Formats: sequence, structure tokens, C-alpha cells
Amino acid sequence: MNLLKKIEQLSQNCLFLDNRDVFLEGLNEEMKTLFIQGDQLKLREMIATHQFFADSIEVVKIHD
Amino acid sequence: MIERKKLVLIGSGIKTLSHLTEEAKTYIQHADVVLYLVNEPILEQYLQKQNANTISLEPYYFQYQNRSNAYNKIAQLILSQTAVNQFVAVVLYGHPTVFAMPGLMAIKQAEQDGIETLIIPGISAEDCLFADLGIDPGNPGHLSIEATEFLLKKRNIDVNSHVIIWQIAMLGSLTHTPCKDVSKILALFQEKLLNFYEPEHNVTLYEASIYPGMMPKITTFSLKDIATISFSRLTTLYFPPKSNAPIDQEIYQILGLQENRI
Repeated sequence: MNLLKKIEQLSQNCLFLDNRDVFLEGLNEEMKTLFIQGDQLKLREMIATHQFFADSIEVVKIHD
Repeated sequence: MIERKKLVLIGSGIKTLSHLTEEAKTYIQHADVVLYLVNEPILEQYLQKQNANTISLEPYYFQYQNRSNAYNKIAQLILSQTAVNQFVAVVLYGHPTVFAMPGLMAIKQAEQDGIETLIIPGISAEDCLFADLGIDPGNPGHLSIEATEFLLKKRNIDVNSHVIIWQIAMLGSLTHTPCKDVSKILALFQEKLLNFYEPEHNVTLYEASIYPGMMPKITTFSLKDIATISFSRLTTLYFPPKSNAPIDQEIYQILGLQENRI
């Protein structure tokens, strides 16, 4: 399925604990499980074509 | 009349697509080129769909082992695009000036170069933390600091405030990879924190949700156990206030506040 469309759909709906699973329909079982388990890092790795992400864009200044 | 060039720095928010504002979308759609550094592949797809001319900054991010060099290179690249485009947009995830160096570096230089600049705010990880943990940063105040900044430099913590420590997974590292001897570094970090807090003081490990419908990760443990906890690159630490700050009785009297008590 088109994941961009699915995330767009999720972002455009009021999601609560008692209706979220309905909106997850269409995702494959593995992705659905990751959503329910809250394992977003694994989900992100599954969606991406690589394993490295720009998660930090700040660093300590040692010298001016 | 020659129109001034434009550089717009845009925050995409943390939760993919959900946090992207109408204002941000408008600038993304109308820019001559959209440069982006995001940490989520669906958002990247979305940006490519919104504007036909996009450039990922990610290759430059990973080109240099030293993060400081990478951020300088990214800032230079942004500026080089303003030389060949009238309207450049740069999308960074979260808030584009909160724990996000390269965008602001480019903006400051662009202003000196006479380019019109604009910053479109986004929802930061800290904003998500305030919401998910039910915290008012104004009551009684808060301190937000990068983990290595706290460990490396002679910094104080106001224990009467909410304290947020960022980038714990990169503690002691100036590169893209965490320190090899993490337990040793964490022990130093813990030792420094114990100058301010009791070993039993609660610490919350927090990871904002990056997908709509997904719950944030919230785990609470004692400071004495911090060396046994594993952190992801999205983890932020939260320390609740230790106690209420005592009132300065002299100022209290001068202000006459005792007379206003109901």
C-alpha cells in the first residue's frame, strides 16, 4: 500500500486508543504490530531504504 | 527594481505530516528549490511531491565524520543555493532553530549578505514532551540543555526547575556515532548529576512520537540506575523539579506581597 497516503490519512483523522486500530487497516501485519507496540524506530527502518538517519543536528561548540 | 532573494527556514514538526503547518506547506510549495534534512522517509516523499525541485542535505550530513564540519557544510550549501535561486526553502524536522544548528548558521550569514530571511516555527521534541508529560515550563520554569554541553562544561542545574537534557545517546561524542565506552561516559554523567540530585530522584526517558497514531515512549527510573538504561537517538531525559524554590523574604517584604494574601 502507499504509505504516504496512509500517513496522510492518519494525520487527518482524530485518533484515540479505541479507534486507532480501524485506521491502521491496510497496513501489513508487521507494520500494524509495530504501530501498536509503539516501535517507531523499527518502523522507520522498515520504511526507509537505509539505516542511518540525521537524528541530531546540534553539537557542542568547543571553540568560538 | 531587483527583488531581494529569499531564504525561508521551515520546521516540519516532529510527528510526520501531522505537525506540518499550513504556513510551512505554502512556502514549501512556492519555493524555487526546497532543501531538506529530515529524519523520516515518509516526510521526504511528501516534500518531493509538494515541490518538483528538492535537494536532500542528508548526503552532506554523513559526508563528514565530525558533526560540526557537517553542519558547516550544510550551511554553506544552503547559501550556495541562494546564489542561483530567488526563493530557497530549507526544511528541518522539529523546530528549525531548536537544537538545529545549520539552518540558523545559514540564516545569519544570509542576513549579512542582504537576503530576506524568514523562519517558520515547527513543533519541537520539547513541545511534545511538555504535552505528553503534562508539564507547564513556566511553572516553575525550565532548563533545556544538550547532554555533552552539560557534561563537558562547567554548568549548573537549577533543581527547582524542570530540567530537560537532549541528545543523551550522543553523550560525549562530536561525531555521528555514539561513544564506544558508553558505560564509562554515563558513569561520569551520573556522577555530575548526583551533585544536584539524590540517587532516588526520578528521571523520565522520553521519545516523542514521530508517526500519527503512535504513542510516545515514556519510561521513568531512578537516577542511580541511569547507567543501566539504553537510549535511542531520539531519547530526551526529563528531570522533575526537586523542590519549590524558597521565597526571598526580603524581596517579599519590599514588594508588600504579605498584605495581598487572601
